[in-house]
Amino acid sequence: MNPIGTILLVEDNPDDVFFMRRACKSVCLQNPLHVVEDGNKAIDYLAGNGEFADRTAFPLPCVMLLDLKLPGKSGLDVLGWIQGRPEFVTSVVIVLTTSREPRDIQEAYRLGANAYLVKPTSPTQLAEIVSSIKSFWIDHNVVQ
Amino acid sequence: MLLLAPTGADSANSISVLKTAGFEAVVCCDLSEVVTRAVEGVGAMLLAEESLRTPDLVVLTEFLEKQSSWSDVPLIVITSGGDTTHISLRAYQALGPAANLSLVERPFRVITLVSTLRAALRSRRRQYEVRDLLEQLEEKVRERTARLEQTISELEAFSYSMSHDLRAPLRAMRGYSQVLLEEYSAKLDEDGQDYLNRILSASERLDRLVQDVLRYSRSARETIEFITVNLEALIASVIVEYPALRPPNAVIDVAVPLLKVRGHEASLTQVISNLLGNAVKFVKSGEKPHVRVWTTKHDSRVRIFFRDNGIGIAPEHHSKIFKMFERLSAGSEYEGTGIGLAIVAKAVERMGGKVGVESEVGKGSTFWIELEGSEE
Repeated sequence: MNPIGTILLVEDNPDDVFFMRRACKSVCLQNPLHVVEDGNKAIDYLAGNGEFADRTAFPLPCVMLLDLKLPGKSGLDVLGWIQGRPEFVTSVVIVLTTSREPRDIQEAYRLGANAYLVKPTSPTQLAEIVSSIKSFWIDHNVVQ
Repeated sequence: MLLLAPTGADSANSISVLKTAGFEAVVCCDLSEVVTRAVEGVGAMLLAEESLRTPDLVVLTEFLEKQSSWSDVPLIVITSGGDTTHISLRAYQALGPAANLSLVERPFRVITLVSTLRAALRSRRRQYEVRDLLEQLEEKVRERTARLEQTISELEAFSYSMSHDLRAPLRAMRGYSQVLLEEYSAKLDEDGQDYLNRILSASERLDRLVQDVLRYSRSARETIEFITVNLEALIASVIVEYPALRPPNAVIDVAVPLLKVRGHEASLTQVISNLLGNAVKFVKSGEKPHVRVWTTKHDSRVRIFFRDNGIGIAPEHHSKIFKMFERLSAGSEYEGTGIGLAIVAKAVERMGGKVGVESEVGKGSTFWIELEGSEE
């Protein structure tokens, strides 16, 4: 349970970022949402490299929403990076992507994704998804 | 190339005759040697009748019967006439069906033998030409197949990423129209709201289309594993998933017990939800969809039938409906992308099965799929 933990959204499409922010607002999600737009930045954020060195401004996320198709390092690369590091063993990573390919799904789970969600096309459905993420992964799930 | 299985004194004689005529010949001591050498390549076989006496004639007939489709080795037997003719007769009967056989009777003039051999070698040369052509052809087929497979996989990768890339702007269009409707509808008059609704429904339609194309390309590509599928459980799970298939919207009547089939469960789920979805969709407005599902056994195969009380399909359209983008109902009375049955046909084809339909306008339709049955 971490009602005020940071949510890290790894998403390169500004429209999807807009809809995600709106969905969070519509279900009254209080948690701060940080956005990074590619795989390299996601890894830098988690590692606390460079601009993300300040953990007060950039705290480790309680939930990470990860797109798979990203410029540079892909979402799967980020999952692979996390998997190799014991300090992230309880990190919650939820894949949020357009891909429904069995290959992507299996690979994501193999690399330790906690859940795999396909991006919905309507804001209403997105709000439902955010609401269930809030209730399960933020309000009920225990990581420490 | 020429092989010879002589007995007695005339082998040296024959060899010299052949050499003079410019033939290349190898002398063999028995039929087994003839066959062993013939396997490496042979122009014709010249055999003395006496050599066919032996029981290993069967070695020769076996060799002749096992020739490739292009090969028909010419066989020339020199007979002696007189009291040994019955050997020729026997050889002729034994080899007859399998062999390209000519008999030359002693005493023969040299020109008779030479011309017979020339003709034989000439036909043999043609056979080798056919072999080379066949090999070239096979090579060409291999090359083209490889190129075709390459193109197909590129096309599939293209359509896959295309469909994905199409969905991103589509999500934006759909999302922003919905946001506009929710937050700004007070500022729009009726026409404005109508236009916005049209944008929204068009983008929803496009989204369904793109998703169906993706589904189709998945059903055409994904690796499938066969297991025994319990159709009753599978149909029950499909009905649970879609409210349109349940009362009060529709009645699906399953004639239990259903026979089990061998198939790929995910593909079969897709197939059955598409067929049931269609069955309840294409009914006259105001009528309640009623679908009956049953199975029958045909030797080792099982046919699954889906009979509906819908609007039916004219016979001239039966062959069209399983093709991509074929929609029979015009306008917007029945929503659809025209891909659903193409997915059904492709998925069933990949499971080694068949699909079909029996229907008349106004009398409902019976769709069926046929798959391998399972006793497990």
